[in-house]
Amino acid sequence: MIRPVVLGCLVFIASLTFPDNLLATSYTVDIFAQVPGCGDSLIQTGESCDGSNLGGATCESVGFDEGSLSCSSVCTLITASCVIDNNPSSGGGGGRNTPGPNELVVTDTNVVVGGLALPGMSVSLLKDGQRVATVPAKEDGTFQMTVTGLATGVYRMQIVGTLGLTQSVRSDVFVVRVIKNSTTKISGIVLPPTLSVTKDVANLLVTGFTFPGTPVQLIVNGAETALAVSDETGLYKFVFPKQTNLVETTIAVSTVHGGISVSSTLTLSTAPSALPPSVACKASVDINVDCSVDVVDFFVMRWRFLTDVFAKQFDFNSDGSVTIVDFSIMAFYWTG
Amino acid sequence: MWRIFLVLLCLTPFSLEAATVRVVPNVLPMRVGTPVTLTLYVDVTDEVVNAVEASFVFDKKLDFVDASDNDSSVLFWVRYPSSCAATAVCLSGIAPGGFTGTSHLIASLTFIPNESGTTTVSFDSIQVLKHDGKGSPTLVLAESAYYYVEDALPGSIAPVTYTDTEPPEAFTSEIVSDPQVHDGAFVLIFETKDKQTKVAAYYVKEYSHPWLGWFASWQLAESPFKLKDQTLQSYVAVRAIDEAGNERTMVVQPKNPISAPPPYGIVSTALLLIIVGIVIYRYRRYRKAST
Repeated sequence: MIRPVVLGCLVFIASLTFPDNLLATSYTVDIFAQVPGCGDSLIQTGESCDGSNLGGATCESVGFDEGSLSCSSVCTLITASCVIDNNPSSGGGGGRNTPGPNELVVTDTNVVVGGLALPGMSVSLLKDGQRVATVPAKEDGTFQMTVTGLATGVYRMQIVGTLGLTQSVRSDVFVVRVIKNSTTKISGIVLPPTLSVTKDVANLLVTGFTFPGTPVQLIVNGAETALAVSDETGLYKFVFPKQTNLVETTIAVSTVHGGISVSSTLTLSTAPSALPPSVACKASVDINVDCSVDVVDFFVMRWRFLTDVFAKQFDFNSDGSVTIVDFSIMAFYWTG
Repeated sequence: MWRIFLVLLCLTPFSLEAATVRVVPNVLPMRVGTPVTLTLYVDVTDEVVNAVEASFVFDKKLDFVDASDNDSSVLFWVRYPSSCAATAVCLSGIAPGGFTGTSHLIASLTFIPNESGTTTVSFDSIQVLKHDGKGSPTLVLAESAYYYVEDALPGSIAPVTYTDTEPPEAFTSEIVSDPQVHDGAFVLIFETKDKQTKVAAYYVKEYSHPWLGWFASWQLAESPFKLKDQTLQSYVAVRAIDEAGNERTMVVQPKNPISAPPPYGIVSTALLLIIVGIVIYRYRRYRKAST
């Protein structure tokens, strides 16, 4: 009888944790992201700025009170010279809060991620490929999530937005270097429009959702083909004739929101494909059919891959073998 | 004794490649008996890629001792960097969401040179696949490196020390059943990372009540882990331990908790009844004796 009591006391004592370094006198935050096409002075998909082109953004527009905004070498806004006068803003840009010279700040190691998605969209944050937070986008499309208790290090993060079970969009992966006892804020992430394509005998029907009343540019095989404006529900629609002589047709829709250009791209192929053209519940890469492609699917496939000679279920590209190519296909459809 | 290091870069005449894999540092004085870490990087241009598979070969003058994926762009390993032959390390993994740009760390490999002289490291085979839903290959330029290993210095080699004081990342574990794994038995799937060193090992233990967790023994585990209790009435604790010995333990609640009273309750109740019985017995004896 005595031993469990003693053990219980030990459990209680062990459960008391004392966060170290609660008082920090300064923040040091470094944010960078990997963005293709950065450096051409044109703000493209996934870029918040490019060189001296800040897209009209200022410290004030990204949630700070004053200061000087600049652009990083990987086309993210640098808010290191932006300051908040009194109350820290929850919506600021990637950067650091600047406490007063004699101000002691009690803080934890957090990352705050915010941006714009379609109103009502379920927005998830993936940290190193694993879903760590999910929130609904507000009526105005804004969302914000906080991840706490992180260790010092580099994290690869991505925002995934889903509408229903079949419409899914993703941001580019952004790399965040987290420093102990600092709050890293990342904002201005705009999710691209959803995109789905259906075919009939002669035409392709391109539909999706974006912000209501937003111009949507259709780009087919790299050429700007048509322009439409989404209706009050955010729905946009294009109909154009199929080009039967092409093996592949690349379809992209692009919108600009909050000064940031975002786009979704989809490639249609006349070659047979084992997979649906978009992430969908019951896609073949969703091995356990739980409507998400995540670490469970990966480990199930990996275990079978390492212990068995061939499992047809995982041969996504139907080439007769399961290889790193099939894992690459799974990674493409990853939802976390 | 100083020697000249010869570094050979196998450059192609045209810059058509979408990815370049390289070893850093490519100029390094190695010394017999002294661990040296070579880091594999990939630079990607004009593409987004999401998978890497490589075989990294070296000669017999090097002994492979360890690998690390700290800061790696590869998030999930199909094959964690490990020996696949006497003088080769194989790795393959994926990066959901993909990556592009320069200086993406893939893995760090630690070797101990065992013989002086010129030594070579190179990529025997490598694939870097596009993030296009088809796993299309990219054209890859693989750079080899040549080093010179000097004789050992007299004296002992300082042991490796770790400055890692933070535990592995918090993580979630999931109990699933899939006909592809252990014939559909319930398995536990878990994965986490350590940002300072790396997760050295996972341990799992199962117990029917929180108090009994103290008496259950840890078992070395790998995801997916086949659960002993297939009725899912047990708590399952997963412990990740990093190379510096920091640990993080997460507990999965039982899916079908036992409705019966917990064992310590039974024991406590039994003891209480015994004590009450003894008191009543002695009281009666006292009453009988006094009368």
